[in-house]
Amino acid sequence: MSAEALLAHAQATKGLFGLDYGNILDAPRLKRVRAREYEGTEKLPPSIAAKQPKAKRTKADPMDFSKSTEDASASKALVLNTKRSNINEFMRRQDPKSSSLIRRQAHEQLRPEWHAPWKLTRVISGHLGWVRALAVEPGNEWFASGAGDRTIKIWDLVTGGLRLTLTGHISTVRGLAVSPRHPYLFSCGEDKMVKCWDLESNKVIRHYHGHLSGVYTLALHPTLDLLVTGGRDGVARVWDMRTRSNIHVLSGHKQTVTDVKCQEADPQVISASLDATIRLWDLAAGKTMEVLTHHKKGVRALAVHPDEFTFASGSAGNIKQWKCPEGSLMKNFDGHNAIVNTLAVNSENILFSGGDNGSMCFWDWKTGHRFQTLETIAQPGSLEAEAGIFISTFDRTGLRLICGEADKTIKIWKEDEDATPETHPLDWKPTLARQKY
Amino acid sequence: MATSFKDLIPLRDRVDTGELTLARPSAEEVERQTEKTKEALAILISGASAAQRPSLIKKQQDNEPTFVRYTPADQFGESSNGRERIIRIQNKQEDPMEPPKFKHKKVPRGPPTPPRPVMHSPPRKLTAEDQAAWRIPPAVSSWKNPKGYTRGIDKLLAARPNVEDVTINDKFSQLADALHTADRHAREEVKKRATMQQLLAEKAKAQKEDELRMLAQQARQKRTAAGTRRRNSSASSRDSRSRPRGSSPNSRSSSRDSDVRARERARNEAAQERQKQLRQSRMGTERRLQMLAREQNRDISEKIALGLAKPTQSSESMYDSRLFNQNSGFDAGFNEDQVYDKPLFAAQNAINNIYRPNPSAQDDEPEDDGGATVERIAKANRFEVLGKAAKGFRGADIAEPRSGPVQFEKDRGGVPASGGKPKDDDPFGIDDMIQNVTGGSGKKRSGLDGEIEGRGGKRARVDDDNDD
Repeated sequence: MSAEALLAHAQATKGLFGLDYGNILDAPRLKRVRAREYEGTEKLPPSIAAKQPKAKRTKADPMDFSKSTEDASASKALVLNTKRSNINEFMRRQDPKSSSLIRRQAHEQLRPEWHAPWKLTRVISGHLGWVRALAVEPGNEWFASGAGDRTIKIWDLVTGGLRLTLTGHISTVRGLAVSPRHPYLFSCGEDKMVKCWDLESNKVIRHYHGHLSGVYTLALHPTLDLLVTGGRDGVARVWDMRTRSNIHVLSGHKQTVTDVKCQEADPQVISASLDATIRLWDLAAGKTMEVLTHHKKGVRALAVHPDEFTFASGSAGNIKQWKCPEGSLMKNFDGHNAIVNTLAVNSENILFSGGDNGSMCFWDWKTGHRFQTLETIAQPGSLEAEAGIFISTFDRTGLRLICGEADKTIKIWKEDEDATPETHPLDWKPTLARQKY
Repeated sequence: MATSFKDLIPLRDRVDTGELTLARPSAEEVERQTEKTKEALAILISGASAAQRPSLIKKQQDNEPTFVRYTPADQFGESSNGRERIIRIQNKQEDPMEPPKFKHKKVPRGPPTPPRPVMHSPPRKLTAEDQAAWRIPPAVSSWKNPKGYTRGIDKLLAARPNVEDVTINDKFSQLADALHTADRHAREEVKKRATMQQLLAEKAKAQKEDELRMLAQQARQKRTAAGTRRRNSSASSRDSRSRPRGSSPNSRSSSRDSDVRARERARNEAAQERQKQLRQSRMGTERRLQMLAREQNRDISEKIALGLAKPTQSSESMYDSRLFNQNSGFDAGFNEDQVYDKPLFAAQNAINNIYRPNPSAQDDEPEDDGGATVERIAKANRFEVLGKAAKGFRGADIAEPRSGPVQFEKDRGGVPASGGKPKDDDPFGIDDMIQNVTGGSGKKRSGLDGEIEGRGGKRARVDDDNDD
């Protein structure tokens, strides 16, 4: 390819995409960018430098026909190199103002944080159905689980013993929440009921009546006395905790609302649905602030980071991380090839995703690096198809992961205390592929 | 709102993103938003709760009249000075039970929010592999399978109870062995004890017999001793008389020897009998039966051994005739009416036919030659006669051949029946006794007895009377 042709091509490219990257072209920044760029080219990257003498040796090989032919491009490694250097030289010769090829910022890949691997510590089998809801008490002493056997059971977090069984739902219990400011436990189920249990008398004291079909998820507002539920009727309802009145009906989803999260600042309500959208709601007005349509399949799980103003959403084979007030996509977590049923984040930047087929992935929140992959082992005596994770939550300290599974057990995982970065080195290599666009 | 291509690229993968501020909003910001939300919601909650409280809906509206001073303007040149009016304005009384005057109309919804740009690629076309991956085989029950679907071996095995895990404890076999040996030991012991007891009983019996014999001998000796003493004393008393009978002690001793021998023999016999009985009691059932048979001369085993007893060697008797002619007809084989294949007494038929001219056999012969037929019958060797009977009995050859059935006559003790002696009829002399006892009536009766005809007639008449 001649230099003129290259030039023409580069100009065409600039015409196409230059507008998007226009801000790069302002002079001082461009200079900085250029300087950094040429730094990289003056010295070969270590990986290529390692290959360099080898490539020369291959060139000296009598079998290599690059000698016989004039074209030096027979040796592939060299060709790429020389071409790039050619381009660089060409670029260097160009006037910066008339430069048509835009060089991207050299990617510095963020090294993921090291996390200890997680291991199974306890299996609690007491439920007679799929465990579909979990909630940890604010005091971190016990947690509640709701299951397909229509019961809510309260377990001791330390010993794993059963403390209490609450009956009252007439179908699967799908959502649980313990209020940090009241002695109340909230539960919702496929029987269209949302119940408020008084934990001092262990009785139902309120019903929130209004859902037209099964209620699949439930969230408490952290600062206001509000309760948000979402279900198969495709709406999320906002309830006043005390008066039981339905304040808002957040309608807009076209299918089942699978998960709802509340946070203290706008967007105060986030809902995920099987119509593959996520909606951020303006709670005061009861209107949609933003609709996120990036997912291709139904979104089944949401997880709000406790410290960052970000959240994650999981659909089949894809987990996405979002920045909060405006809902801009931050990161794709690729690699969990299953229907992601549940997500959980703790304050140590560990994201857990549990799949419908029992696959579990642990991710680094910041970089999206998957540092551990596991498969749950179904309880002995259960079917092959009964390996599946429905719900997961970290406890309040973030040191234990509680999973509700399809084999009717609750499994508790914790970090391996003996593991150090030396014993379990970080399995991460910076890729040479372009990471930034 | 996502509007450009750039929005598809995650923030962390973008070149131009500076430092991302990811901190949670500050406390003041949160406070501000919370307050705002709270206020907004409080209105809604109060409205909603007010709607729930009917007493507050029908709050006493101000029914107080308002008074308005009204001064009409000049109209058509008329001045209205001084003609001001005071108007009382009051709400019209409403019937609280009145139905709504206006029909509630459903207000159509407002326009929906504008559609959001779809930020993902269109779904991929479904390939055959995808379809195959999602094919879920029909569930086939382990218990019912009316349509007969084939089930995988793994499923069958999973449904089966775990066979290989079931292991019978070793101790079951040990227990069985132990029980078996204990049983055998017990049986042997019982057997031994029984034989021992039998032996003891035998011994005791023999001892007792010996004792008895001893006692008997002693008694005999005593007696003989006494006899000899007496004899000696008598001999000494009348010695002269005893001399001629000097030979008598010898003969007596010889007779005593024979007595002794006879007794010995009897004793031996008795002992043998006992032994035999003992043996018999120890014998098994089969052997005992054999013994019994032999005692009753029904044992033919010796005869068989000597070849004297042989089964009939006719070829037709070798096979059951029912086995042939299976398809010949109704009466060929077994049925309920005909249980037996052949008559039990085959000779009966022949006996019936001996003296009855067989029409089938005589068909070809003229009717009138009866003598020839009888002769033929007599000549025909109808019976296979065994033994000496075939040759004829002694003296049978001199008897003239019969010309009909054997006729038997009552044996009158050599005197012909026409003799009319009453003694022949009653060998015990009962008639005599009656005659002696009753006198004339007996005589009359005996007289009547002679003419049988008359008596029979009288009897008949009496019978008739009785009948009448």
